[in-house]
Amino acid sequence: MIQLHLLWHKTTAAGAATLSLGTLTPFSEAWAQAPIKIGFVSIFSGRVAMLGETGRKGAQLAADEYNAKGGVLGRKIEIIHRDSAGKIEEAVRIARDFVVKDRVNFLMDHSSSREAFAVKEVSRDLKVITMVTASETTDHTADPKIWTPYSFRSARQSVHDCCVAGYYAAKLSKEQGLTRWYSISPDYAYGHDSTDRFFEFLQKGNPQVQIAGKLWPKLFEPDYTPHITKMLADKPHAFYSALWGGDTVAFIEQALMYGLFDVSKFFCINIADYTVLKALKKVPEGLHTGSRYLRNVPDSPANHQFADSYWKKYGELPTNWSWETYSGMLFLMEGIKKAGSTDTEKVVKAMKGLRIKAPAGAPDDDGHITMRARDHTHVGYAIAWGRTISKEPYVTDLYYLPWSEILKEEEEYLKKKGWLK
Amino acid sequence: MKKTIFWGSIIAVILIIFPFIYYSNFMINYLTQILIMALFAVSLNLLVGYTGMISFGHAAYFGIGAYSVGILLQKYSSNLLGSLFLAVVFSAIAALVIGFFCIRLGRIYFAMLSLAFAQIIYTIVIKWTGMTGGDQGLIGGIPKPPISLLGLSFSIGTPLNFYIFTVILVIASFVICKFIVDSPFGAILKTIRDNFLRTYFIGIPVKIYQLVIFVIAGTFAGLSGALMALFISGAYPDFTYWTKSADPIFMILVGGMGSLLGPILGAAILNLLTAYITMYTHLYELVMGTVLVIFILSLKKGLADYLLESERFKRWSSSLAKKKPSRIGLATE
Amino acid sequence: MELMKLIDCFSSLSCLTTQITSALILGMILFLVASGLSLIFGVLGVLNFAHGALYMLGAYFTYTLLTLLGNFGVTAILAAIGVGVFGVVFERIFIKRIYSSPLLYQLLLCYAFILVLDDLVKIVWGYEFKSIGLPAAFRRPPVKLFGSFVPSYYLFIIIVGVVVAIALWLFLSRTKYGKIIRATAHSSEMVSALGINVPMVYAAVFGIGSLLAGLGGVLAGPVRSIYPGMGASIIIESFIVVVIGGLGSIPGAFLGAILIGLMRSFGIIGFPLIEESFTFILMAIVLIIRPRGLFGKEEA
Repeated sequence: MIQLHLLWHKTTAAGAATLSLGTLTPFSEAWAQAPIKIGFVSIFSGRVAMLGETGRKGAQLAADEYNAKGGVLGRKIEIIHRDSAGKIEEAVRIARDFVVKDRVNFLMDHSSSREAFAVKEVSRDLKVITMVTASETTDHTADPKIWTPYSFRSARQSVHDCCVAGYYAAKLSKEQGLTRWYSISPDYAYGHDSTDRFFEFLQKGNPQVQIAGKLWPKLFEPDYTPHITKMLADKPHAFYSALWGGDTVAFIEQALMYGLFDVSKFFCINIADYTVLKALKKVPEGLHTGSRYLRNVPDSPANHQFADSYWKKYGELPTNWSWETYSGMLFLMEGIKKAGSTDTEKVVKAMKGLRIKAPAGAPDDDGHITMRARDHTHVGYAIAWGRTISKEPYVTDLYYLPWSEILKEEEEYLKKKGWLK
Repeated sequence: MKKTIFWGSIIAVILIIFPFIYYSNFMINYLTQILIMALFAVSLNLLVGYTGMISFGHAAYFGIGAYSVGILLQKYSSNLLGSLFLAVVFSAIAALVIGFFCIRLGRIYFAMLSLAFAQIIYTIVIKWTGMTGGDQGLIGGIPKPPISLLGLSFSIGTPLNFYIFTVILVIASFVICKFIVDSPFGAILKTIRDNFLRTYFIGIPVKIYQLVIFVIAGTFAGLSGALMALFISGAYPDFTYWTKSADPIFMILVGGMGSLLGPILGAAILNLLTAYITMYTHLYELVMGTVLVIFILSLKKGLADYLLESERFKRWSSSLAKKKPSRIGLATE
Repeated sequence: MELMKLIDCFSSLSCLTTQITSALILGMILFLVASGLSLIFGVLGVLNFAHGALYMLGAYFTYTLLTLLGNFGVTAILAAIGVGVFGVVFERIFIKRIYSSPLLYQLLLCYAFILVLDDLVKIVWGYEFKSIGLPAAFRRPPVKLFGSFVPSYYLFIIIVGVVVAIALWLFLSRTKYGKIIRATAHSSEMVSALGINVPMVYAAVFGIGSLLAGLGGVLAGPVRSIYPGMGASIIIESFIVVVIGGLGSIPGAFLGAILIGLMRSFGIIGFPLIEESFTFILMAIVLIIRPRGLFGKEEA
């Protein structure tokens, strides 16, 4: 038995030596110490393959930029990425293996909100810092019953998005007399959350608004005809949608055939992402949309540079997922630098309240984003609403809401839910 | 029978001692997951391989077991064994109700109806947000209170302890399943599989046998679901979706449906393949698909069946049989 | 539940027209895919689970061909034939080897092929979702019909669906080749004993079935989002249609598809919250009351 132990240790030592030789890059400088490893779990196959692919690219861009300047604390940043194929047990297994087998220093959980809840348990159990970069549901960081100090979020939150959306829509509804509303959103937690929050903020801003109907097609529904004809019959002044990705494209194509947008004003939170804009043969004019990712939101040199470097490296424009992982990497790297080490507890402390300059930073904090100390979710990222046009930059008449307002509304919402005292 | 208990205990002991010789968190997590999925697959094979009943809705019981143990431990109880027991009972009841409707139909329609019922359970799980958390599932973790038995306290909160707990439960389940398939009851199941009409004509109440084995299969599926929920500390609607029903079917097809070993082998192979493929590529579907295609076209049957039915094995096992008197059964594997 | 709205709709001609055409649009595409599935099962005894992937190929072929050729009519015909040819090749190389295998192994092979095709499509066309856009010929205001407006492209789909249904029925019941196919479904040994090349019949039937699914994808492509794995969105409903209509029956597939379409379009008006699971409940009811479906054969 003892022999087995020695043999094992000899093999691991030899293995480690080979591995460390392997990490010597062909670059002119050799990296003196072991790399900082980040385990990136996401979905790379099936219909949401874009989530993983574009997210990985955003994170890798950040890693490359840091490595070009000598890494962090003199150590190279390495990202290991694996596909959970959308299966929750796989996401959990991969996250665990990252920590236990690959010995990563940090996890980047770029899974959808369902897997994110499960991976959170790994984070809690194994006490490993997990940067959540795709889940937008508020309760992920707001619900004290499930909160863990090791989980940080650099993804946007639907309560922030809906706040800006509600204010924008309230303003327009007063100007244009849009008092009868409908909604069409995918029938799952995100769709319900987004729609309910939006209507709350809209009705708060314009109490004349009534909700005439809500439609809930299933996620990835291919055919919206019955929903479109229902709205055509009921003729609401305007309607809201939290449909995203391919669903938005399909819905818009089908609605155009019926001329729905001439009858009713469309407020869709997810059109302004290049994945949707480029897929549409011709972007219809006059639709109202929130920004997911646009090169001109924020319209800052930092954001332009981000979009241009991404384009140069990958031949495509960033998506909403790309900037979320990019920001996540920035927080991690700057947190490690501030802590002066990769020790978990030190980095957790360093990231609490960390304020950094980032391409996603909103104009009202001079291009900075902040990792809020209270609940480890980030604020201060640029959110804008506007009207679509058919050519670059695709969205015009941009409307921003000051973050002081957004935070006030968020706090009120959390208090109402009993999540904040 | 004694032989089964003997071998079962030996395997359980080996598995439990293994991490004390060579400790690897990775291996422990791995084996735990494989054992849970193997139990799920073995439970389905009681229907598919031994009785000829192809069910596409087996995930329903997996899911009910998972959600039951999760909801009980999150909200109502702090007794781990009690919650686990109740979860298994709930799955059995569901299997009884659903089975009653399904067994009235022949093969393909049985499969379709079992699928339909599983989807109905899925819809209930998704819509009943208050109880099940809706499409987000049971979030926030499932507490694992320590088990106190005979004055001793055993916590399954650590990977090693959970692994030991799983080994004991799963191997015990395998032993029980082996009893069932080797018993006269099991022999009748095999004749039902081989020739439904003839079995009926010799006076056996076929439908009752089918219902009984359906409930037994659902019970073990519920146990595997409950273990999975404890393992990943959560229960999600995916656990009841038809894609989860497909998992054990693939394990049975790849591993072999003619024995208990088959699904276990299938579970191990498929889990290992998935883990290794995702380690090296994002083209998981292409690689897995190609492997499966090559496998089906070359072997045309499960791996265990292929091995057990090969000439060399038959010669070896019959030479063993000459040394001991064998039990006369109605059908041999 | 909004039963009043449902009753109101029944009393309004324009609402009825809207909802019925909406049902037919979904129904026709579903019928095209399901009829191929039913045909293949009826004659070859294979439940082609990969049928959704053939639908996906039809959409992707249309995407590429339309960009190259510009003319939707030609593209549609070529794309559908392309999928048919692919089906024949697929059958000759892979499916024929598993005719004698148990049903489950056939399903496993088809499922494996879905995985392979989904990833191949991802490699060739990329992982982003694509959109074909309405063909130029149909970019005109909707057609007015009984007081309601129906987009011209959707009318086109309905007409094509009905024409194909009639053509298929005529082909199978009136022509010599149709008779051969129906005879093969009944007894392949007898047909072979009469000197007819049965493997070729099998290949042809699989080809026709694939062409039908591909045609479904061609027609659906311009108005839906195209992405790797889109077959999943249609395969389960196709199975349900086939079960409801009766395995192996084309008229059954037609009726079943329309039934599901009607349920969805009227269901959304009356029961906006529960419509998704309706199709499964319907299938469960049919299986309990009349397992062989509307037109299926009695189980042996």
